[in-house]
Amino acid sequence: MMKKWQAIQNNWHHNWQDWRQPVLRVGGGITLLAMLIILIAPGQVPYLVVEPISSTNWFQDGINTAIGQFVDWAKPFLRAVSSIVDQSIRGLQFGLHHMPWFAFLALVTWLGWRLSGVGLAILAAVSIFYMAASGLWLKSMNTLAMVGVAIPLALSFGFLMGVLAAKSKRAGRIIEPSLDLMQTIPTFAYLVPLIVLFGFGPVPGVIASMIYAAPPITRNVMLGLNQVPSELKDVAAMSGTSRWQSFAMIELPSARQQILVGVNQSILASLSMVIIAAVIGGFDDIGREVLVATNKGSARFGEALSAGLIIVLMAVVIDRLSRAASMTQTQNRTPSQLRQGLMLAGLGVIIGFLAPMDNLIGTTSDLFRVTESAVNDKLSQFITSYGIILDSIKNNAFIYVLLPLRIGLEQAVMPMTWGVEFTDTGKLIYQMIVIGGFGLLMMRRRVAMAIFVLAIGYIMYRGFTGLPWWAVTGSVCLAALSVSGLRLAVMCFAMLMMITVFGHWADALYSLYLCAAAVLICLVIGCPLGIMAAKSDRVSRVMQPINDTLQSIPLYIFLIPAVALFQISEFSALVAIVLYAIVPIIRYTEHGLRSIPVALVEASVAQGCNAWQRLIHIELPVARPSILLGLNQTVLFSLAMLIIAVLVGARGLAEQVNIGLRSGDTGLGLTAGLSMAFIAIMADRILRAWANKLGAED
Amino acid sequence: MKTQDRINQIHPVKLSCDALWKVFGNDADILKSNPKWLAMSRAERSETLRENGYIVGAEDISFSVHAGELFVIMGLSGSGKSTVLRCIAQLQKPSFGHVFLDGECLDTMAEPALRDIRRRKMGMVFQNFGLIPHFTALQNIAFPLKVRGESKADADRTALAMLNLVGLDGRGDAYPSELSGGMQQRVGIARSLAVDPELWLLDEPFSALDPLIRRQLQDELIALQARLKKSIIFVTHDFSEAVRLADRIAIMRDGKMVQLGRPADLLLNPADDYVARFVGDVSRLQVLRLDDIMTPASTIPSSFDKAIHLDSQMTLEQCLVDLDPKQNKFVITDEAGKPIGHCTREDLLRIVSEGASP
Repeated sequence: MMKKWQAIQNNWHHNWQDWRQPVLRVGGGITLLAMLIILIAPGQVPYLVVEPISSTNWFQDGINTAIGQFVDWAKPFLRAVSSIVDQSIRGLQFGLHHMPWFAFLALVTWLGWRLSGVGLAILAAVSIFYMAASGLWLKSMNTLAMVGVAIPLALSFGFLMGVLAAKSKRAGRIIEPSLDLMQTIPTFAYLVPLIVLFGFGPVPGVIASMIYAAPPITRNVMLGLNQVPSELKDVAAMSGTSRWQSFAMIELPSARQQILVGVNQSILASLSMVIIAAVIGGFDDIGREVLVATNKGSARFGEALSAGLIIVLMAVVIDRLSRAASMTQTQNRTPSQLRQGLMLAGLGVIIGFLAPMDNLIGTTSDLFRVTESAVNDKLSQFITSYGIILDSIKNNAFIYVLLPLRIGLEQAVMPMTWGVEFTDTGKLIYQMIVIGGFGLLMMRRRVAMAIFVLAIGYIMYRGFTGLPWWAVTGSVCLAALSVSGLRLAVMCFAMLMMITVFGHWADALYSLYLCAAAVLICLVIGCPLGIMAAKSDRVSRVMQPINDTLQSIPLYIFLIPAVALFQISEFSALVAIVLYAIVPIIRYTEHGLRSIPVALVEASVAQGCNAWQRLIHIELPVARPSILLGLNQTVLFSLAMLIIAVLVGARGLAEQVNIGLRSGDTGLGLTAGLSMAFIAIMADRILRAWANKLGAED
Repeated sequence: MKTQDRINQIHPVKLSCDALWKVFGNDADILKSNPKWLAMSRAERSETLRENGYIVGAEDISFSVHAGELFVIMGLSGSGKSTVLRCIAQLQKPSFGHVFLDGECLDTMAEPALRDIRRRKMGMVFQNFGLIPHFTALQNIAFPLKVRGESKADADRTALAMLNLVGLDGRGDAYPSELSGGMQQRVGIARSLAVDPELWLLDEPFSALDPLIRRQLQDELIALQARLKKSIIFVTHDFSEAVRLADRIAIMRDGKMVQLGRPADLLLNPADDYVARFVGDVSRLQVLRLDDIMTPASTIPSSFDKAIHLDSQMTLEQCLVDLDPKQNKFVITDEAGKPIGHCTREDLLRIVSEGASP
């Protein structure tokens, strides 16, 4: 029976392999043909241009009704959970508020010293002193109270899921795919139902961060437990261990290192999420302080910066502390009595010195006020003197890049914007250039390049928001088909249709456009930077700490400089996205180029390639899979940032999520969030499959 | 009667495999519950299984290991030797057939009972040492003791004794990563002996070591076994190692047992070309003893009156190197000095030269 089924499958797979090429050719041909028709004469074929299904929101309404009924039913339980979490936060908050700040400083400094060394101790001391001196102590402690509840919750939730998934195949089959969803659905999206379920305040934030921060630890627990050498499991069995003994004494300690990697990632994710969620949930913490100051624009830049710095410092200190804790080997080195004594005495002296400065708390010290207003003054000076340049950057980027990408040259080129009319002759010339290039490349049998030229030409002409639904669907499905197979293509098709059913097609295209613009900029800037870093150790050394910092600070902080320089606008959103999403492409490009086998480089040198030829013909093609993975990360990062960029002027799906959030429209928020998740999942799967395929070909 | 045969007659059977099969494949675990398979003859079952896409890892393996015997299972990789050992250890359940330890059937035993057997009667040494990286050497050795509930003090005392037994005095606080390969396997050996097992399983214990260390550990194993007299099943792919250590050797190929016998039996009468090819690599001089090649006789012919008397356990090498070249005839005696057979120098040289040109 089994065999027969397998045979059928094999047979089918075999047939599909035979069919694959023709299907790709015919499908691609039809899509191309239709694109050409629209390019030349869009007016003739209106039915090819409209949305597949007119926007409906019956789906969203359905979700709202369902959730409403669920809330009525589950009210007592939800209330209980909510009040437990709330009480723990309040309790921790109370403790932190009443603990003298210098005592807190001493405690964390001591911890830093014991876990790592003097460096971390100093970092911790300076950071906490800064929090106290900035006058934002209580708000910082509010954030910390939330983080203090969220992190243990996220860690234990993620850990349990990981153990379950590793130990039970059935649980693993459910948990593994849900991890993807948990990380790709924009957090704001499930914040909506969480707010409906648990009410406003810090609780939904904590629970959202539990969902968001669990996957890294879950994945690493699964990885760690599955990587336990089978010989060790045999050893455990032959020693006569019970299941629990084997798990606690052998498997868990073996997986420790891997699990701790996950702990670190989860902690950072949780921190990042808590701060964002608090802003939404209306908790008076440091994140809110940043947002309020940021939204006031350049006039309050200093305040935004100093509050933002607290978040960064918090993230960095927590990151270093948890990393140091995981580095500490099983062989723990206890420092000598003398050194411990000296350290304690030193801390005592510091506390004695700091204690009289207790009045720092509650009011911003003069020093800070002066600095902040000085920063504000400098910025406004800067903006007045360079405002023209900034504006022209912004306007030019908008007119010559963003607008054409969004609505296409067809509509963007007007006397008002470009100063010229896009006449029919002009359009004809444009079409001839694109089609000519396509034909030329096809004749040279460079099919991929030809299709690329045509697609870009087409997108530039019509703009993302003007893309007909079948072209998007067709291209995505064909891409999935050619890099992976029928299964992925069907999945992509289903997801695209879901977005339509949700009624978010137009918003999805808008988001796609903003994301594409950001990714494009990241590629144009990031790839050369990565190449430079790969070629020069000095550049690499400079880039590394910058990249590290960009990666470990909460997304939220990127909004501050973007808004200060470019006000609330789509361009600011773009800048913030690029700042965050550019890191992976730089890193992976460098990594890909650096891990090229030496023999290959030497061979190309021996054949007389110069540096440039080597880069173009040998190194970049070989590094392609790695670069693609970087691109994949960049796409995912920019989608993640998109949702936050909404706070400073992004539109599209993210905006819908935000509207849903503000108005408590669960259906709207959730469907828009799911749509973003679908886009992220499709992009991720296709790019990864492509990278795998390239990697396999090499 | 050959020495080993006599020993086996005195000592009871410790462990036996009875028509043991191990089959790999999709639903191989449930084969046993299907009476169709049980009804088949060996040849029929083997053929039908392979036809249906199963992989037969071990086919109809039967043997008995006597108390105090060092039994070697030898075969190349993929021959199924480790599969048989893992079935004996119950790390894998046999698909058909049974494993008996002291007359108790292991494969049908409930988990708690099996756990108890492992805690008291079995010790196992692994190819890649299987040391627990987050434990020190001493903690590794004490691990099986702690698992069975001994107090830390007791466990540590025994572990320390085991550490000394394998010559690692003073290295107890070292972590596995701080020890050389040879030392790590000594820890592995000490750990497997900590519970004072009656059945000692060694799965290619010396394969991951370099030749000099391997040789040294083989010598130590022989010395240990002389003192401890465990019942040992030792798996290896190295025929010369097998010959050096074994009381008896089972040679496996493609999941089947090709030949079972004493090292000398294999050398003198290989069952097929496959065995003969291994045998060719081994020095007969070092393996064969005089009682393997003598003409057994209760009364010695008169022509041997002036012949010198030699101990039956002497290897041919010792015999040829040490002897006066003028001596041509030998009377072979047992431990008590009683003549049990005779041979000539020509016999010796013929046996040796046969081995040289297979």
